[in-house]
Amino acid sequence: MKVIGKDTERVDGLALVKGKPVFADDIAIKDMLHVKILHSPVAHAKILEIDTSKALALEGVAAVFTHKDFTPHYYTTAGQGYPEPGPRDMLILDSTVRFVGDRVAFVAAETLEIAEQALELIRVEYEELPCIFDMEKAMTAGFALHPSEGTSGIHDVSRNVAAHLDAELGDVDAAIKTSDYVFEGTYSTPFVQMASIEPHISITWLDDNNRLVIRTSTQVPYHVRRIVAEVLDIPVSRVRVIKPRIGGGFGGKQEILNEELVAAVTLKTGRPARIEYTREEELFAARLRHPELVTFRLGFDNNQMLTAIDLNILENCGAYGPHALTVMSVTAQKALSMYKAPSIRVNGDGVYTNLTIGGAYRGYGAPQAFFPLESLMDEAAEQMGIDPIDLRLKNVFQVGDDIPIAKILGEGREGFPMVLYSTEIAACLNQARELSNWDQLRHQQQTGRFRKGLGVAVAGQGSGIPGIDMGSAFIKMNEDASFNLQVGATDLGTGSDTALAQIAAEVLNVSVDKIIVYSSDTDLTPFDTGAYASSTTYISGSAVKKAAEICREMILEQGKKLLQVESAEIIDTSVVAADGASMSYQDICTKSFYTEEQVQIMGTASHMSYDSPPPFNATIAEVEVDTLTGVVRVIKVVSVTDAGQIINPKMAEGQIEGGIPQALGMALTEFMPFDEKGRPINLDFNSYHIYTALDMPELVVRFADSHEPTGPYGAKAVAEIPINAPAPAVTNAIYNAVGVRVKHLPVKPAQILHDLKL
Amino acid sequence: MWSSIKHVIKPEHLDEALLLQKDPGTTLFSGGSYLVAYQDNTIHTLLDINHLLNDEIQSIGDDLLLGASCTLQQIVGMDGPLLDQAILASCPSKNIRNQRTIGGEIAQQRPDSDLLILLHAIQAKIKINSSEVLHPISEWKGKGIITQLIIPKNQAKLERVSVLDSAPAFVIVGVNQIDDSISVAIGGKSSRILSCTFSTLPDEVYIRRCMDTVKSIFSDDHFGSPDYKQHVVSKLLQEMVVTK
Repeated sequence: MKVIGKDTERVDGLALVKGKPVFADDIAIKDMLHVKILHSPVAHAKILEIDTSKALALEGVAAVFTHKDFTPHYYTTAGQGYPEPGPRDMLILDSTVRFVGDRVAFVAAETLEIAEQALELIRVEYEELPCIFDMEKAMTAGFALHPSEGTSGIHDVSRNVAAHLDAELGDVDAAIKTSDYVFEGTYSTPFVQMASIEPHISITWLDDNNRLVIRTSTQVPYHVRRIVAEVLDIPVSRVRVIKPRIGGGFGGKQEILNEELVAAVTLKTGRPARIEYTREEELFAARLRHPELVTFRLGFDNNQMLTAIDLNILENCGAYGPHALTVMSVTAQKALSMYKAPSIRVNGDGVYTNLTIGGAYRGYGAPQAFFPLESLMDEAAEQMGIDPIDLRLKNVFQVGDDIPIAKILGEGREGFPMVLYSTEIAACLNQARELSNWDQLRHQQQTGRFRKGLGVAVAGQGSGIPGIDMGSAFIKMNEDASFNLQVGATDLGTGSDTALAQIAAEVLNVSVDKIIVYSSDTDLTPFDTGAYASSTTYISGSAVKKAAEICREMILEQGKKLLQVESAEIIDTSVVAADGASMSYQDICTKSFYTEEQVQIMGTASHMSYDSPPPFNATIAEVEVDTLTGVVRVIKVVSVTDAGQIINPKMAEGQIEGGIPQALGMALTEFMPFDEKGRPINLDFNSYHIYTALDMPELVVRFADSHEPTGPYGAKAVAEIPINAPAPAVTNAIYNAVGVRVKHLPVKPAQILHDLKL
Repeated sequence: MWSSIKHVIKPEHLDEALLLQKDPGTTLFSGGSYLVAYQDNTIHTLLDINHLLNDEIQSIGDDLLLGASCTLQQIVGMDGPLLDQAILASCPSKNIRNQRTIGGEIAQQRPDSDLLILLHAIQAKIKINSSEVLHPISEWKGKGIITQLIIPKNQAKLERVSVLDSAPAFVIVGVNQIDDSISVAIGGKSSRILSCTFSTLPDEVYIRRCMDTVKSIFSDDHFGSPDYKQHVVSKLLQEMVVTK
């Protein structure tokens, strides 16, 4: 292959490094209003009275919106396919607030300062209501956080259960009973934040035809269009969503978080409007990873082969349930797709609490699965006297295996049969073993204040959502043999536009600089469900490949016609007949435009897949534990990934190197504590600690040789997989260093010190 | 600037700045990095005093003299590796170090400033307003404008306990031991900086007794209980102090 598997310059790289105005906020529109939200200071309350008169009287205030301004229409902010699998439990503005940060009102003013000032002039009288802060008490609280009237899709309103799932294959209880070894453990993962560099920003205006244009930092432009149209009761045809370059999303922008508010302002005032979340708002009023309390029971026979996996999930959705069902489903689906066990069972409840809302975050439920599963596998290996790597090698799914849970658990509905056509997880583990010097360092005797240890974990993910995710592409040829590639796929900073260009270039036999990529604009680019679920390379990439193949075929046919031959082939960038006559791409296109056989050479295609081949990853972490303070530092992370054929090694490596610090943050430093009133505490990066360049350990990133037969050029996904295994690899390394088993993230130095067994 | 700020004034001399500062809606700034970070909405007037201060760095005898408007970045490399380490830990961003002044860092009196803990431990001295009188930094109550810092020769050690190198430490211990004379400063995520000096070498029992005071400056938060932090301080002191 000429282009696939090669490092190429990013198609948007030059504009980004030159600071071109490419992001949502990089436009200035005349007469733009600035929108600010009044967030609830209390965790649960009825709004008895809301007086906006002083705010409205303030000079420069154009509009103030409260719940009285909207006809109640329940929707979900989750940017998912239609019909959405989660509950519809949210109003634009409600007369009840359900968490500190909930929307109470919003103001549009001539300047940001006036908007901020106006918020302070809104008088709200609250009747405080009882709260649920402990997810374990949500189902027995005795009161419901959401009404049954108007809402839909809530599993059990009275017990505050937003979503529920259960499934069983085989007889788990019987299998556990007859197992030679049984291991059980309960683990928890915290609220963590995506912390994208670019916050949520949306700008709206009316175009010449009185259509609403939304320029927004989103992963899901088509879902934004659909949901905003629905909520504001305007036709989809009146809405255009433009997604410019994105400064990171990580799932947080798979959400309609504020687009509907600025759209409402523009529709009411006729003026452009802008909203930008502050970092503080990102932390308390955007979305966080759902905390989960997960219990695993693993049964093994005397040959150390799994006999049963029993999984119980309690998911904290926070105050509303976007992604409630699907995040929990992914926890179950990914946990039960790693190891072959004859009997498997899952039972899960996603519950409402009066805390910040859970949402989509890279990994989407899988990190919550692999931390407990891989911790318990480590414990099992030790108890059964087998090397942790060897135990995993014995039990992982192999090529040709059916993965039965995929058929039972789909995206909020029954799934599709799944056969594993490719896996190199064994190669990943073996390579990681070698690169980390596992066999030597793992058994090194540790003494003194600082003690080192090694831990391993494996993980899988998916490549799009089977039967749901759909991408499409349009390619047209220009007379200089360049091609316009228009995709609805959403490059959110990942470099996916470049990967898609490489796929098109490979098919069309041209260099990547001949592919001009445009993404995404709901008026100009074809439909795509959006950038989530690690779908872009696999799903949208397949659509691009198909469209490019159509285009290539058309070039060939057009060339044959122009050469007046029956057969020919494409060599380099020419159509060449058997007698040696040839015609270049340029000539073919120019003639096709202006003189002969006139036609636009182009291709359009869509792609949807019932397969979702899992990428796999093996991670080995080396840590150093300070036995005097309990503080843990990660020294080295070895990460070996099977992502099928790598389209662009440098960008794929970037994905892995970006996912690891987020995972280390969840393991060691990131979480959102709340006070006794449900008020979040860590509201800036001085107190919410994300890994920075200063903190990074040595990273060793490799890819296994792999080919996925269902993927474009053999590719699988690479976006989410790196975030799943580092946390359990770190906690297993802590155990190896000092004998402390961590069951609750993040690791707390005080707890390590308390549990030290020296 | 944020919405509550209505005026930025450049006083002509320190006395004028001190007079204007009496208005409760007014605050001084030099580098302004903390000011921008906190955006206090009760503030309506900023007093820019940067031009009234100097940023000279001089070595006189064993002492290092720093004008209050020296930026933290200017000081890096001027003394020893420990001062550099403290500066970098207090302010990991070079961009902010280029802006933040030593006078501002001291004036903030932040117990989670590694630099301040070190300055307390080595008993650095400061000059206030137009006076030439030297005040021990630990005795300064926040009144007046710092104009100069004097860093004495020292044999200090500094330990920080944080979840990340880039994160503020929740426990910081600074020790300066010269023969039998020891001065200790303790801070982190604490209510204040605890400074104490010993003219004779204390034994382990005495240090342990001092730990009761240590406990009182820490609260129960997500980094751990006061007992945990006290334990950590105690263990660190045992490592850092050469005892009888």
